[in-house]
Amino acid sequence: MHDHPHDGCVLSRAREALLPNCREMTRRSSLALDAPLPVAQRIGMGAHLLFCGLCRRYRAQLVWLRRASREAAAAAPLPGPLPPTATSRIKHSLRAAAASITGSAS
Amino acid sequence: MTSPRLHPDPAVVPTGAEHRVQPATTGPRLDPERWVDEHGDYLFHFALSRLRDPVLAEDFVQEALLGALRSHGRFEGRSTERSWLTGILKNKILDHFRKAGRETSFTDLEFYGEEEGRAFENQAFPDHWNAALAPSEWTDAGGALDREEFWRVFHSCSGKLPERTARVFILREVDDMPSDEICATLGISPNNLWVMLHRARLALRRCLELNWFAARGSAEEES
Repeated sequence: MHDHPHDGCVLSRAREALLPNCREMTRRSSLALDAPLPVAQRIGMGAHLLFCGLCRRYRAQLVWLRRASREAAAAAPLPGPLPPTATSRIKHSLRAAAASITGSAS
Repeated sequence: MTSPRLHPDPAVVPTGAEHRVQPATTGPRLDPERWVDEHGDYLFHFALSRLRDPVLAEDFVQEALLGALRSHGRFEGRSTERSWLTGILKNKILDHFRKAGRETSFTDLEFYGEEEGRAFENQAFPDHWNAALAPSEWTDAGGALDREEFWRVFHSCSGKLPERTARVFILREVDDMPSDEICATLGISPNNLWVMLHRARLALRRCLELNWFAARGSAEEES
């Protein structure tokens, strides 16, 4: 309980934020796509990216992945059409429901 | 924004042309079976990509169309018929997620820990990229999006994500739902969400690299 790694140690926390390793950079690159990062983390990230081509590449690929995911929804190929059995089953239940609606309305 | 709009309030639609479009309630005979023919495949694809179970997806399409039939009076032509039906389907799926979110625990979090661990095994610099597993350069990433084979690989990769991870990934990346809304819908903490998104991106990135970019690179070298 006494030697909690973050307890009161402002310096070590600042060091962590400003000098991220690559593993931490992958976490931050992802998080930055969903929420604003704290300033110190952002500065540390920018500094790391200046020197680390692999993390720059990783980050660019995540941004690309987001774009691809959005396009995937519209892109071919579809995982498969609605099976004919389902088509007729759904039509059948719609017919029954429509009949009961018009029946109760009149 | 050129789709026909229809406002019940005549003050909003002063021109004569649009008056020919009748409100849905008084319009020609309701034909829900046409919805199945015209939008069935699209709705099924939408449901399947989110639920990943064809039987469940069929049921949801049916439920959505029945719901649409019951609330048809509320379709006022402010959107296209397809986006109206998709909206109903989407709400049904979100309801399903809401209930499921409370029922089961998030075991997906353990997934991918091993692979992630190895990517940063580096003797000289702990927690920095391992040369063999570091991101490689993707040639022609833009062109991939135009290729049908790429999308097959993409769907198969995203299909390998654990169910709940895939769910948050789609809500966030495909539907562009804000993080806080996803948390509220699924009843999870922001941290939980961010960890899952992080893992999903790591895994999907790696899967595409191995099965598309690396595979294509070596194929080009051979030819």
